[in-house]
Amino acid sequence: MAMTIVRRLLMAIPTLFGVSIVIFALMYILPGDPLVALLPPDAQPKDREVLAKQIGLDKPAPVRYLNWLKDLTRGDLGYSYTRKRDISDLIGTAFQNTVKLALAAAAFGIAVGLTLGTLAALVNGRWLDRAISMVAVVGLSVPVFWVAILLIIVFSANLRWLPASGMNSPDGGFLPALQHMIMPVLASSLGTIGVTTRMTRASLLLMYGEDFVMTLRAKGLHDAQILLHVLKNAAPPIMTVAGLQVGFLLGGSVLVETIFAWPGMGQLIFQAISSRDLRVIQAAVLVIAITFVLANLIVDLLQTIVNPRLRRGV
Amino acid sequence: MTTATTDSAGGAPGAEADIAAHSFLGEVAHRFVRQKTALGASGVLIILILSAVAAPLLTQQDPLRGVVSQRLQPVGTPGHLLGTDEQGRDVFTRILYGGRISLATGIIPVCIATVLGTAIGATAGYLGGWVAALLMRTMDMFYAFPALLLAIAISSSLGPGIKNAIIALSIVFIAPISRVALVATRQEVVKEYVEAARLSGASTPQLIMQQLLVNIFSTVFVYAAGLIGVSILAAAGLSFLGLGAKPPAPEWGYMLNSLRGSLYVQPWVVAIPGLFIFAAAMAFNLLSDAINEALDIKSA
Amino acid sequence: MTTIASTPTCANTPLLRVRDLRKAFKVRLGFRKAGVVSAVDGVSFSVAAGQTLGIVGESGCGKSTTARLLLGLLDADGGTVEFEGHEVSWSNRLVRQRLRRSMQMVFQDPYSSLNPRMSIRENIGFPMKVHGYRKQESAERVATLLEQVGLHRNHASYFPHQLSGGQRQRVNIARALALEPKLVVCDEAVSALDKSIQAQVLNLLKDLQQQMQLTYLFISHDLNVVEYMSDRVVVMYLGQVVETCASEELYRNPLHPYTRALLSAIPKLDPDATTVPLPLAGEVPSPINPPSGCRFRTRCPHAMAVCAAERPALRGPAPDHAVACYLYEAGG
Repeated sequence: MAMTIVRRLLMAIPTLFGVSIVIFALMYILPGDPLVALLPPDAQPKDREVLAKQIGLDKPAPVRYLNWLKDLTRGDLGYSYTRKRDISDLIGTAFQNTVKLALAAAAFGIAVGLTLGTLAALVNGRWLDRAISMVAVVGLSVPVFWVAILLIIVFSANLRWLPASGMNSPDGGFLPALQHMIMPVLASSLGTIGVTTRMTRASLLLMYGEDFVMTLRAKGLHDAQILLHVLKNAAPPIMTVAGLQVGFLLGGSVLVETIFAWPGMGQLIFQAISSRDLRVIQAAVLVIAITFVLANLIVDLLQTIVNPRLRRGV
Repeated sequence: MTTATTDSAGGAPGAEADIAAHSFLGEVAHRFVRQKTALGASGVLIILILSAVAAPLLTQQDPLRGVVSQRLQPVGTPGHLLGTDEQGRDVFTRILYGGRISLATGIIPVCIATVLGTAIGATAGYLGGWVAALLMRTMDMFYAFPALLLAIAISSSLGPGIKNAIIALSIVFIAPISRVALVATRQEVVKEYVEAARLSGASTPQLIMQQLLVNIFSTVFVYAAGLIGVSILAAAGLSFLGLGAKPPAPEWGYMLNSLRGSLYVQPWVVAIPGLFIFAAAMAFNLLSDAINEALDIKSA
Repeated sequence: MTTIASTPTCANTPLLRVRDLRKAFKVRLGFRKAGVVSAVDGVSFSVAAGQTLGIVGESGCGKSTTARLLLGLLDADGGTVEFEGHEVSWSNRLVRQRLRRSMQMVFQDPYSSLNPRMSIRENIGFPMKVHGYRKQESAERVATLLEQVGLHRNHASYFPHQLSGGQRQRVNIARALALEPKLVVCDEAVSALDKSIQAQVLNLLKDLQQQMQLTYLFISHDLNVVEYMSDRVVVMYLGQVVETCASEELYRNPLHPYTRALLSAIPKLDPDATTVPLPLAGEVPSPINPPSGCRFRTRCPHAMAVCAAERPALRGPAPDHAVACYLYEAGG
């Protein structure tokens, strides 16, 4: 079994390289003067020279790629001329804030999705099943930035129950922090709820049709016990979907954080888009992509633990 | 389903008219229209598409210029059915014209990605070996990114604008579609009719296009149809962030962003563009579900 | 090296002559281990025009691989194939095009061997389309072929899922005949059909052979069917030819221990005939590491020391009956 884990880890490496290649290609290989894209319009000729030497524009692409990789491994993600700081600084705190939001949304979304999906599978065919399925489709179809705005309209502008922006009040504290989190988490999680509900429902319905369920019933197990067995078997595809949701949430963070002024990677990217700071955008996307790959890797490894069929061989 | 005639001597099946060959498509269409949600969703979509196309007929006002003194009028103001935005432009007009952009940037990338992705996936699935490995490894590089982020990265490198947003989204969707096409092709390739086609002397492109594509089409089509909803949301998201339609274009996502500042003044007008994005995405998703249901016949 | 038993009746060049055909597949056995499956190892035989050569053997003995090798669906590792006296080289595109018209195959599975999304007309017409027939020509020929195989010309508009297994197999045959081939390989062509339908399709094949002067290569694991259809028979075991002779001769006087075991296992309808099945010890060995020398020796009740040392050559005690077995070596 250790072999499987090692093999999974090894398989993630080419993917990580692939991710870095894509980002590098976007940065440097597109037509046009790369310096124009990387510097603010009021840059001095001196800045251009420094940057040109830094990037090593005279060297061939593979060499530049390797240099860039070397910088990455040392934690150097470049420098933002618009924010006048090292990008790794900017990303440091922002990343933590985004992860907080994403994990909360994932936890909430998956929990609700599992519950609704299981419920729908159990009452399959009746109106409740159809209602839940409709709710799931709504969750999938709704634009996250629209829901955010609606929530603000209702809960901040009208009812004044919840704060509309920021991560915490100036005085800090647990309750205000929670209040600040409710709407962003709610808005972000709708997509996850939709996907998880459908996946859970479909998975369970498939399982209930399998022969082993008939065997369990014949053995005299109660419905609740059968449900437990079925859930265990249905877990793998649901886990895979859950892992992918992390990626979806990290991606959607751009939209949600922008509206709620949540100081995370999403907002960082939005501001960088407005100020045409490409370096920041690409560094942030790189970091999130790497996180995504690692998150899926973790889910994969958990799968090998949960699903004995995966333990042998590739 | 027609009953098979007895085997002895084939049995004259009679006039071609009464035992018409039931085309696969005919049966699918039949199952499709039996679903109520399918009809409802199709109706909504037809309305959205028609109203976008017929925009000049439905409204006389200018989507791009407004009377600033009339800014942020509420819903139901005479002359402004859906109110006015922060620059005094009629929201109803902007929604209609915006539909063209929003729907197009949703549908076109999926179409492009379907053509290219299917070509890549089917070729990889049929040829196997190092060609397949090379193609799919390349696709994997893109697969590792969350869709919206990759779209943001690509379109920010390309620059703002609808054309670039379409290119970015097409690139994003090629990878998942190619994977679906690959899996579907691999399932077909082991069937004997493929060998028979090779034996008939067909060249590889001939074989893929004339024999294989037909059989993987429904799988790929269903998947692609499901992607349209995602694409519409992503395109609106890109415009919301300033990466898609350039101001003052009336794209729905951009409208949501530009109206956002007036949230406390005229909240319900702010919410309208989002409602339409939601309606379009929902309609496409319901439609794709219905197609999925309709195709689920055990035919062979 | 093996010598080939000469065909007694025909003084002309045989339509098809296969010499020393070889094919091995690489298999992944584990993380870094690879194995080699020797699927076809030095197979030789020939078929005279207008005749039917049966190839018989258990699953995995290499009969289907042999068929695909000589039809050019797989690349051979060694050996030659001669068609109408000329050596066949599948790498030459023009040669390939010409040969596709002369050699065709009827496939085993009536369900997956027709494209489910194409009509019968399109299925049968595809080889013609590839070779540039005009639509009108092709449609007419499809109608003719359908009638020749015992279906109705209106069946052309049907789709495969609307026909029964036997009917689909007839369509398969029609498709194989579309380009007027000289050689037709029937790879387990009736194995997937019900017994009652099998007889009909076999008779159809025989009639067509007469009408169109076809030559058949009839592959099957079913000895009764092979006896019924073939003039001559080749018996294969684990990638090698172990015996070849005329069809009646095989059933009257089987020589190789494997052939005898196969024949004794056929259930007979005569209640008075008591069969004493010759025991075949063990299972078919893995093709990845076949036994040295004679591959059958691990299950042969008559195995001798020499059997492990070197592979017996295929040579006959009689001019048209060849066996690869040391029991029949002259002077051994």
